[in-house]
Amino acid sequence: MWYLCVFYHRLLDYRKPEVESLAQLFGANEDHQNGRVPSQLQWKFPLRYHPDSPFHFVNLPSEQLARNIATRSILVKGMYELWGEGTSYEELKESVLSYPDERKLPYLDSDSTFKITVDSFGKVISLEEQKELIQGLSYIPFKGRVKLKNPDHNFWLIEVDNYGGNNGLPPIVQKRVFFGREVGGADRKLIPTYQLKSRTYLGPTAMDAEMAFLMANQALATSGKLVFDPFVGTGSILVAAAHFGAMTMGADIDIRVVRDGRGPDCNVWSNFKQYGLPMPVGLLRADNNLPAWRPSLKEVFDAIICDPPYGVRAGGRKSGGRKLLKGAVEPYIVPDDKRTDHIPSTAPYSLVECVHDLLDLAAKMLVMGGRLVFFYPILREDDFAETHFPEHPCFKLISTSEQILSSRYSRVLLTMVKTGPYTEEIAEVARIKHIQFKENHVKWLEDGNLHSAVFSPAAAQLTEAVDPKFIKDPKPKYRGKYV
Amino acid sequence: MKVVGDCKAVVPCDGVVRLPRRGLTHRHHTLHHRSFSRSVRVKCQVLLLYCDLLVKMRLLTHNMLSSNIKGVVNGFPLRIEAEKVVEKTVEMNGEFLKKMFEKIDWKAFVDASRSMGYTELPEEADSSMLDSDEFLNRFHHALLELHLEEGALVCPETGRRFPVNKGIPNMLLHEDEV
Repeated sequence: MWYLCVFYHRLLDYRKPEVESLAQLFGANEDHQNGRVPSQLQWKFPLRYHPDSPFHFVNLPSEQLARNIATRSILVKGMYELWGEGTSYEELKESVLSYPDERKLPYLDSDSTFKITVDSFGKVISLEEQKELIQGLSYIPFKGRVKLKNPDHNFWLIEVDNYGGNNGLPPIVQKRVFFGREVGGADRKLIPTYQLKSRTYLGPTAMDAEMAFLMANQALATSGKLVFDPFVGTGSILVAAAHFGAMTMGADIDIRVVRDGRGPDCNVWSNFKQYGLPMPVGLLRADNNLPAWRPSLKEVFDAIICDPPYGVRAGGRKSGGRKLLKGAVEPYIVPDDKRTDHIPSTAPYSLVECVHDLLDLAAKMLVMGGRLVFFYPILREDDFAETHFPEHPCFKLISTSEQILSSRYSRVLLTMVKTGPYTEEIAEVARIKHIQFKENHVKWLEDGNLHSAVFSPAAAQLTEAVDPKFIKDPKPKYRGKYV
Repeated sequence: MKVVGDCKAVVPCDGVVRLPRRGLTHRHHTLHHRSFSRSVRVKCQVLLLYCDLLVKMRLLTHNMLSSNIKGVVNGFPLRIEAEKVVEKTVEMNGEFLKKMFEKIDWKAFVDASRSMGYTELPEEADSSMLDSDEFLNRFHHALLELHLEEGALVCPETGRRFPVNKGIPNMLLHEDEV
């Protein structure tokens, strides 16, 4: 059945992948009497709509599934069973009246309570107008009692008008009115509860709560699953996964962050305690470049979620230290009397190598069908050329969602599913690559340096003497960090 | 004796901190503490301060780790040197336990639980035993409720100690071990 899916006008690229992931998550648990959940959901737009508009139609096999998706999601404002739509209120009336009675009457009977909400996109409807609009619905035989708090049935009247082009919203060609019964909607209270400003222990790159929940949804985090974050930091991503009931495990190379925090009540553990969440099953200090997992261990994590260090706000480190920068310093041998409590120096870790290690780790350690969800930074100047995302023979890339961070760069949330087993050949290729990275350590660091590309002064543009006003941003005006 | 936050710990003479099941009030603890000699009580106070941030390295993590020093062939299992072991109640999830059972190296797991002072696990185990609640409880306890707070993991081949402080195993290698 087709449902009207209305999104929040936020993080536009993340909306459909989230619904699709949740359909997978809940569809897998559902008995298949209502029909199988297809791996690819069917979507369509209202007539002549822009893809960035918040109004979509999605085909789902059951109302229960639609409700589950909507309640767990972060970006779905509501899923509605559409009773009618039209370009005017007259057309809406016709459309609602022709909607089959057996679909309508069960929700209108005298024992139930209901509420009608008037909503709009891109315009404001005053309270008086709202009242008129609701009274205009008298052709629907409501028999129940009105109840504004927790009614049995929520009805929505949503109006979208042509609001003119320039208010920063995606263009809409034609006025459209929708009337429908709410099936479910996102619990946006989640985000104020978990927002970073009320979190005790924060790092410079702690993941925003909304984004962390989206990542956990992409990773299908749920009870009984084990989720790993190799760059755990203050645990901001794992908090979201733990909220959805997953067992969590994290590693970080910086021991001060994972072990010490800022004191007994301000550390990774306290971040979980603050929300009454179960603690991570394990936290360790380890290097993503040289993971300490036992060689016979594989396919143990259900998902790996992380935000690798891009080298823009925080740079990656790996073990090896001075020894790696060949030629500069003699290979360092730790004297025997200093072995205990020795603090090994670390070397910078290029993003390319980091992502290679991450894919290799995930290919080995994820269960089949397990998900790898991580951010990958891209320079926006390259926007015209096709962007190449990391690839791996074990993985299938299922969604890419961009978040614009500045005019220079953005980061893309990649969701990958493990579709092939980790074979010995793949392991051997990875081992050779690992050695290549080690030998050309300095070269890789220079090649993949995102920091200078993001922060260097815009020299090229000045010499060409082009007025910056005329440099066209390929993204529409309404796209930004949160949209 | 000061009880900080919702610390719930009782320290018997063997130095192993046991955290009681949920629902006990602070008054219970005070009673317990009074029954100890003065020296233990002082130690108790220090431990209680720590209790707020307890939940430490568990045997699940231990079973996944090995020594990855360059040249080491058999880095698994790491020997546990336990200085301080803590027990804490964790909600049981049968589905998770069953999944983990298949991934666990049982022999290493039994040995590790012994070195943490828990001897109730059978020498051999197969998946049919997961139907027994008693076994599941023991498995759950050993896997998730025993926490190594202070101590070390020792490489079986080279004897290199990977220290565990505040429950975080430090698996980072020195420059000449990479």
